[in-house]
Amino acid sequence: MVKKKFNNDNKLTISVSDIPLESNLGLLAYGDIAFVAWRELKKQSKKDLLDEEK
Amino acid sequence: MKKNKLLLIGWDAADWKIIGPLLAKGEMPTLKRMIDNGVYGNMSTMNPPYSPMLWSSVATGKTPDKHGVLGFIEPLEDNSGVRPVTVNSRKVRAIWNILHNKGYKSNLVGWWPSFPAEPINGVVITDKFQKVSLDPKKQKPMANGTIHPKNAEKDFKDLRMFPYEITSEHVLPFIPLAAKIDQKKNKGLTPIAKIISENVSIHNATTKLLRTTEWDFMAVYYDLIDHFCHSYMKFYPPKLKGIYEDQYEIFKDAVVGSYRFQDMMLERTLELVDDDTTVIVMSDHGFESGDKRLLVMPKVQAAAAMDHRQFGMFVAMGPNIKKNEKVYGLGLIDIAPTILHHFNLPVGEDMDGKVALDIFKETKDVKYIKSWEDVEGDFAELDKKKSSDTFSDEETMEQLIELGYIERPDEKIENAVNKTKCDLKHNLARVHMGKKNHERAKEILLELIKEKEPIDISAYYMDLVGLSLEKKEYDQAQSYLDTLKSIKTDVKYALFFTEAAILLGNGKTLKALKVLEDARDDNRTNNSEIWYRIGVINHSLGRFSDAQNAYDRAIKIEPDKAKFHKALAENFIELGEYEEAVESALTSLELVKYYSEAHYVLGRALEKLGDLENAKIAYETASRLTPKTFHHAEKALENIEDKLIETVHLVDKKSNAYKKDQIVIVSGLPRSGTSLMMQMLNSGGLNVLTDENRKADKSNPKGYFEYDPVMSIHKDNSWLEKAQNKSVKVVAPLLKFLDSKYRYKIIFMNRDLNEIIKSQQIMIGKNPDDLPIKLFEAFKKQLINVETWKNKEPGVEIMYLNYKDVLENTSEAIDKVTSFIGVDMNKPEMAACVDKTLYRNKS
Repeated sequence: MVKKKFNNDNKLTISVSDIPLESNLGLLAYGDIAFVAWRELKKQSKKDLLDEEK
Repeated sequence: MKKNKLLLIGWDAADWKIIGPLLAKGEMPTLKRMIDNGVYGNMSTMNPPYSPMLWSSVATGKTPDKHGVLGFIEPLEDNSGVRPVTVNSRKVRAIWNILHNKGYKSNLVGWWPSFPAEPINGVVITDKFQKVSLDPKKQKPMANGTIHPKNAEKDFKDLRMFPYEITSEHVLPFIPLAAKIDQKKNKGLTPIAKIISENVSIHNATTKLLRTTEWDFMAVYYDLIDHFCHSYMKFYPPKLKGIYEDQYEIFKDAVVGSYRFQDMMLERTLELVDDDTTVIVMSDHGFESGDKRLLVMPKVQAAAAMDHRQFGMFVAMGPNIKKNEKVYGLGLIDIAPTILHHFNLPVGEDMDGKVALDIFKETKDVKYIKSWEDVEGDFAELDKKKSSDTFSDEETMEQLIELGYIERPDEKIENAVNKTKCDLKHNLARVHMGKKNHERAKEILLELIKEKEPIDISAYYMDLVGLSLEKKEYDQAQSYLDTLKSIKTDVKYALFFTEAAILLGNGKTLKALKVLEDARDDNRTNNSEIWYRIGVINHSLGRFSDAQNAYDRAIKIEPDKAKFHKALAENFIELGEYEEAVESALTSLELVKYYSEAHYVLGRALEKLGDLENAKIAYETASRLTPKTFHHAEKALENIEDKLIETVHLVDKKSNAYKKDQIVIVSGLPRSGTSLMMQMLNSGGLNVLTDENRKADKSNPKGYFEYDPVMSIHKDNSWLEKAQNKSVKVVAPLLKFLDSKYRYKIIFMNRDLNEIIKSQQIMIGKNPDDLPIKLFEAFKKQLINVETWKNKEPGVEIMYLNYKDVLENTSEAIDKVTSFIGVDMNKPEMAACVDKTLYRNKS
């Protein structure tokens, strides 16, 4: 699992490892923080994939 | 500082029938925790059960004829089209408008309808927020009025999830065999991405608001369960005839998945509120999950709502909410008054609902105001003239069509607008019918039958037939029925009920029975209503065994219909089975608390059993619920009063032999010497069941010998096991809750009623010479009740002992007691307890 610190717009720092990432549905149930982190990670992983292809 | 916060969570269509098994299997652990720490019960819906109307009743405490939200769609102000219903249809103030006026801060998420946002003190995320296009390339900017305040849009817009972001990992928990679906041929997965993403958007906004804002009241609405049910309930187990086996296997877990996901979201929500917050989770109606599920929708307005069941669910938890208790008789219109009361605000006398006082640990008097609508000031209401934009919303319209809530509007705008207006008027008529405003309902229906094609007027005639039957105008009903039969319509009506009712009304009972029996034989599905009506006719013919069989069949098919249990109770009375009658009447009342006829039948059954005091209460309740019309209840009450004023003759029922594991009960009216007797038994060597929580005082200087669980014996009498071979004090009105599986020796302390009342007056600091007549009568009735009760309880022996005799003829009294109990006791020690100086308040 990717361990990464994510800052939300209210400067609340959370550890992604606190979020039930093992279940994607669990992540959605966790609400805004996990959702923003998930979307961010998704974007990042897409970017990494594109970088690798280059 | 502690805040009196309240969070209201709406789960559209959540139903105990699905929740129950999930709770038992531990699959909804968060809701289970709420139930264990709070109250739970049925939530009764209203007719017609269309969600925007219902949630507006929740928000206002008023029925739809008053609040004005009458359907899923509304015509535009200039009649240039139709749109999903908006706040503009609501004519009265919602709870958040009132709280705004009183300086409270409210957050609102997804409430249906809440668009365009009202400018309240707090944040409003409207029901338009989560509606996005399925196509990533067709996303539109957020419409004005989607979020209040406007500057919060930037904080929330990126919390919307789009359907195209849903992955297979999201879908698999709902549909584990999703990979087997050939999506080119089978569109079964199409709704799921939209439903999940929309509800995630709502949940994201909710968690963000919970984390980052201060609030007093917050309301959130999820349609996850309702939308899953409309799409997948037909696949829910047990498999229905007409559903293919492979489809059943693929989709059968979808509905359960939605409940589990909703519970997961609840878990996170509760993590974000503090312990001082009161949380309510409720639904607006249930959802058919048994044999009555419809596979093909009839072509009537909002056909999908025909799957809605009368009872939704209600759970509440909070610092002033009772624990693990079932509450009864809640209706949607009770929520707003209850919330106002929670915030110590007055309830509008023009609200149709009542404060649900039963849910609170500590109750306070309900305050009233004539109407919140008359109060001047800032209620953060929209200027409806200004906000008359078109609010075009194709996405929402499309979804309502897919769900079956609305038909695709006619391409001719004029027709679409007229059809919408007719539907709204028809809904208004149905609301009036539900409120028994028959004349108003008839006026509206008579206007509607003047409509021309393409409006289908058959449904209006059907309601006119129903109204005529209610008013016992059978010729009129027949005339409307004849017209209905001549109308060209695609709708197939089950007319045998109506035909039978008219025949019955005209005295052709056997013909009516034949019509129903033929319908029963033709009907391939089990129809509970047919069985019920067959039962009613058999009952009226005095064929009580046949009636019982029919009612049993109806209840087997549909066990939660209050009227079935009420009818069964009436039938049991005729069969002379009074205890069964009480049982059935109580089951009926458990389902619908404010059911006057069921209270009346309960009264009849209790009267037959000789429990006159409770019969009186039941008759009074029946009479109060329908004061103008319930002559039966009023007459029955007069009879009861006559019986109750007869002289009380108390007669011992005793054997003087020890019974294995017997429980010795000391009972009597308050201040009749029960504490003295307990003390004597204790000193005589009989173990006493007491917790000594109530300390001695000047009224009882030697102690009370009480046991706290006794006071809640009506809810839990399991502690009686501990009382075997011991003595315990149980006051007279609670004796009837003793579990009949044990043997009881009851020493009933008797004392002159005037002395008892005098002693009580002193104890509560009142003038002992004032004789409260009502109290005197009430005590007398309690004595009668004990007499009646002991005669029908084989496990009960009772010995009346006069308090004065204990004091003046102590030795004789002790002999009587020990002989009655049937064990050796230390008589000198017992005698030493008697302190004659405590005999005060002689009459």
